[in-house]
This record gives sequence, structure tokens and C-alpha cells, in this order.
Amino acid sequence: MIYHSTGSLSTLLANSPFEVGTAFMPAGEAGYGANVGGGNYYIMKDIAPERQDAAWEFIRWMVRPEQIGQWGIDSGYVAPRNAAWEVDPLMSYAAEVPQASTARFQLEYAVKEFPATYGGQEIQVITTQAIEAVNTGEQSPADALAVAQERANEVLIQNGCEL
Amino acid sequence: MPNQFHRQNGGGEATSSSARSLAMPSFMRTGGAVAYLFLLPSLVFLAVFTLWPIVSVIWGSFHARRGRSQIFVGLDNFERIFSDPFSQQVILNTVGYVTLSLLLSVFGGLLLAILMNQGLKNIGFFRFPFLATIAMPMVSVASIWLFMYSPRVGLLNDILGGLGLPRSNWLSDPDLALPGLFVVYLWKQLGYFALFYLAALQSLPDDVLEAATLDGVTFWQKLRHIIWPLVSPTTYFVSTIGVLNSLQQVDHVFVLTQGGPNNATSLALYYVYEQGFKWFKTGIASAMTVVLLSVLLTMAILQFVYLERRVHYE
Repeated sequence: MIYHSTGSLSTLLANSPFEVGTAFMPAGEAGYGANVGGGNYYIMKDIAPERQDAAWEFIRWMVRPEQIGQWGIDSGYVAPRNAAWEVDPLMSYAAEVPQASTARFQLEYAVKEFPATYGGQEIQVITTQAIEAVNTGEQSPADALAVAQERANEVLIQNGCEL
Repeated sequence: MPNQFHRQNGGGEATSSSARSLAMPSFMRTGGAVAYLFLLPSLVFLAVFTLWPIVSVIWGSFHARRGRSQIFVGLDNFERIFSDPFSQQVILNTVGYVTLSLLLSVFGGLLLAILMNQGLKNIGFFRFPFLATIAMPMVSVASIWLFMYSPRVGLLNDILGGLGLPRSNWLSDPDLALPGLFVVYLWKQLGYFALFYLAALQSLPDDVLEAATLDGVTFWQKLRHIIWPLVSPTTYFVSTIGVLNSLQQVDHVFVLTQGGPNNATSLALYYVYEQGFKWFKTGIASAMTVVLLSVLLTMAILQFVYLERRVHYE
């Protein structure tokens, strides 16, 4: 069993000699949970208006239901628009490969995306270290997370975030 | 190699009078200016790549980044390095690593050299593996060891499992990971230190050792009272580069553990890289560098003043 990004689903399905199933993360006391993340589209406010328009048009094309549906099939990343799941190619693919829909249904329990700003990358490492401390039996989950929270707060403040 | 510590005395005066009588162009005799002109290329490189970085790292250690500007924070960075449990662990890791490396490069190196110096047939065959590792880049060495340490398909666990012994998750166990890195370093580098001792052993005067053998001294007495004092210039050299070498280790941290699990294998140089170039905390990175520099400088002075006096030169 692996706990992994949905982005590796297509590779796993294509390369496993056995059948691969997918499931939600197990529920804890607070119910199901899921973390989301991914690349975002940005338009910079200081660039020329015609370039902003062009960027907007490009983004609209990129997130068309057929477009992100195909992207989801090829990569395994979850298509983030409901409309994409209601048209082909993704609709027939989801019917054929039910594993692909797990991540979509889990979105209902998703929490806000982890920010990439305010030292977000360093905080990811801090979180990883907390998980390692628990996995290796050095600390209890509560202790490890308390340390991680304290260190993360410090990073946030250093990067100008007001807590 | 120990020859480089031989001092050259009293050569200068004898030649100076004859040199003066040679006809020199007048501009060459004007002294200072021309000399500095010849020194200039080296001075420029020394200034740009050694002196300036030192000055800048010292400046940086008293500053911290706030947004895009650097503000003066006094000794905050240093206080932080010595109070934060994670950097404390890095310092402890490094001190342990360097101390162990110092001891093993001297004693292990000498022992290995004595073994390699036995007048056996085909001794070259036994010398080769220890010396071959010196030529390998640390990154490839670490990649090889990554496979050996691998928990499921690794050679170490295959052997242990075959013998019916418990297997370990070498690099994911916080107690084994740093020793694991150290073994890689020692495996690669011990032959390097042994090489210097081998050269020293081979230049030992045969008559002394032969006389000792005739007098019936034990191997241990010979080692303690004859070999050890006679190779002391090499010990001085090996201990100095042993410390420098182990402090510079960072490649295998990258390849094998990236400082994990939970910071257990982070060494000073890796910490500097992570703080300075991953999180852009140049102040913290500079402060750790200054600490490293001060330790090295102190050790260099101590070794020079104290050890140098006790080193026996022929």
C-alpha cells in the first residue's frame, strides 16, 4: 500500500502487473480528510493589458472541461471542475477506470491548499520531519506536531506573515 | 609527503651576494612595486575568492533578511544556532563525525598501512581496493552504498537475512543513519590516510627496526616507541587533513539521506546549504559558517603551536 499523489495514478495503472485499487485516506476522529495541491495559473497585475487578456484567454482554454479531462487521464491528476467529469473524454474514462474517481470524491473532505508563500517549502520540510519523528518512534504524534507548529509559526513570522 | 614539512634553513644568505652581482635591469632593482606587480594575479584571485567571501560571511552573520533587505541583528543568529534544538543536533552530529574521523583516520590509517606494508607476495593485490576508493567521486560511492543499505534489495540486509539475523532499515533508523554515513566516508577515505602512512613506513630506517627485532622487542613496543614517534610528521599531516576532510563532507548526505530522518544526519555543511540556499536564511547560514571557520582556525593554530613542537623531524 502506498499513500501517494494522484498524479502518479496513470503511471501506476499502466505499469503494474496486478490490479491497482484506490481508496480514501482512512478517517480519523474528525472524519475524512484530504490535502490538495497543484500548479496554479497567475496573471500579473503590472503587465500590459493586452498580455493580461492573452493570458486570460490561454487560461480559459487550458481549463476547458475537455482539456483538463484529457490532462487528468494522461497524468492521473484530478480534474478540478465538475463539468470535466460530465463530458468526454473524462466521462467515459471514469466509467471504464473507476479508480480515477476516488480523488474527485475525496475533494468533498479536502482542506485548503497549503500555501507556497511565507516560507511554505520550509514548513513542508518541518512537517516531513515531524512525520519522520513519529514514524521512527522518537516522538508521539502530539509532541511532534506541537514542535512542528511552533517551528512553522516562527517561519511564518520571519516571512512577514501575521499570525 | 611528510617531506613537505621539512624546513628549509639558511639557503638565502649564501645566494644573495652572488645574485646582487648579476646585471639586472634597473626597473627590477627598484624593489617593492615590481614585486607586487608579479604578485597581483594571485592577490586578485585570493582577494576575490577567499578574502572577500570571508568578510562578507562575517558581515552576513550579524544580519538577517527581512523581505528584500538585510537588517543588523547583532548576535541573534549565533544565539539561535546554539539554542535551536535542530541546529544543536547538527553541531553534535558534526562534532561526533569529525572526532571519530580524526581518531580513525590516524589509528585506522596507520593500522591499514602497517598491514599493507607487510612483505607479502602480491601485496599490490591487497593494496589496490583500499587505494582505488580514493579515486572515486563521493557521489558515485554514495550511490553504490545506497543500494547496499537498501532495506529490501540491499546487499547488507541480504547477507543478514541469509545468516538468519535481523535486518535493519539502515538509513531510516535515526540511530543507524549517521553511523551509516560515516562508514561510507571511512570506506572511501581510509585508504587515502593509509597511503601517507604507507609512504612514511617505507621510508623508515631499516637498521633501527632490525636492531629492535634483534633485541627481542614485541610488535607493540616497536609500534609504540619506534614507529609511532618516527611517523609523527605524517600523523600531524593526517590529523590536519582528516579534520578538514570530514568537515567538508556533504555529498553523501545529499545522495543518501538529505539530512533525515528527522534531522538525524544533517552535518554542518549541509545545514549551511539548506539554510542559505533553500530557505535563504543567509544570516543563519553565515553564522554557522563563521562558527565552522573559527573552529578550523583555532584547531589550525593549536595544531601548529602544540603538535608541531612535538613532531619529530629527522
